Amino acid sequence: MQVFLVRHGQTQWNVEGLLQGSSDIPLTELGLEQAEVAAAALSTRVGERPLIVASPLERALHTAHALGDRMGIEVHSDDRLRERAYGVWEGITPEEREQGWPDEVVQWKTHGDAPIPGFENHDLVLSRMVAGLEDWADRAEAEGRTLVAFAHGSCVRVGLHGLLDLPLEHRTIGNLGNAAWAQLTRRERGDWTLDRHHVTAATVAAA
Amino acid sequence: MTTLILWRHSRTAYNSEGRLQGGLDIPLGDAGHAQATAAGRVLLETHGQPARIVSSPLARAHHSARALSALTEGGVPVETDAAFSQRSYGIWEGLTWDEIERDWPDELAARRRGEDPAIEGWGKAAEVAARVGAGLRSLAGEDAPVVVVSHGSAIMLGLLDLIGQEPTSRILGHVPHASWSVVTQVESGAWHLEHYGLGAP
Repeated sequence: MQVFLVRHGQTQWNVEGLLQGSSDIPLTELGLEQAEVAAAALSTRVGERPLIVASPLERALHTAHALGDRMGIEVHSDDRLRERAYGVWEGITPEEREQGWPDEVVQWKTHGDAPIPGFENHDLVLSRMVAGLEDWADRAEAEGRTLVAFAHGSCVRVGLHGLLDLPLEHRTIGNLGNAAWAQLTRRERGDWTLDRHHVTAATVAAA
Repeated sequence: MTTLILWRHSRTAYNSEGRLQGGLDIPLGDAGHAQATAAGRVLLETHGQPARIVSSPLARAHHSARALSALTEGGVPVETDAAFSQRSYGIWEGLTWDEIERDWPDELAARRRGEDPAIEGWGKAAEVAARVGAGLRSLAGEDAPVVVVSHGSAIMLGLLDLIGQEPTSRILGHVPHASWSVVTQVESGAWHLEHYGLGAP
């Protein structure tokens, strides 16, 4: 079965380079447009009745609705697809981060986890993302549908590493850009292939 | 930071007939050339002018590379490197998948499982992965992206080698004609897969 993992469209904090994490920041006008453009391209690739699920954070949910509303299909939500929480680093500039927590920033860049209050570590994000995606894929498969899951940069990246059984420390797979997606084939739980990564409406060929 | 764009050649008449090429040197026809030009335009718009274009010496790749070169400013020259040639399919070259299924069902089943089938002349996955991987690593150090024009199996196996996965791994899917993937190498020497299968349907 086929699974699409889509990152939300642009938000104001994306533009300013601020980490959002669990902060619930809305899409910009451009972000809404990006969601529509992505939905148009996705709608011809996900079969007639995709199973659509989104992180409950509005930037993901609204991006999902661009597809759901276009196709007349319900959008479900699941807490397990939320973005990684960045705790006290949410909403501050990279400079403020470096000045306030120099050692922790180094650790974050080398190992991917940061020992700061409220930071959700890799292994927690990975286990909830994999569990959520495998469960929704089970349901989609049982119903003969393609799964389209809308989420966020960091959690999708971590989720992909988990599904493909890749070591997280090396950041083997890069982040998705706004309104970009990955496409996978699942043969069964734990047995996945990455068919497309970080593609957008502008970079897919006409079928 | 090195950026490599791994581009699969466009469709040939043999591809359209479902015939394996491997080391057979089938040229691009008009349709293939048109596909290369259309895909090449999107590639350049997306990633900008490449520093270099390095191609497998086989005609289907080389012609695709020349189509891309013709679109660049000033005509970035096409270099060739046998490291990026396709794996050999041995005695299966020139045959269709139906013919292979009929006469070698067990070996085809092995191939489908991701194993090397026991047929004469088959280019083993581990060897191809190492050859292509070494070729890709040798391209590090340019300021602008380097486009490598190669073949489906070679690209997939070379990428697995760069990201430290076994050549038998099934985590990377089929590479469509005229599609491309992008890897970057960071300071630590690790390779990151930034895009896979751009320009595909």
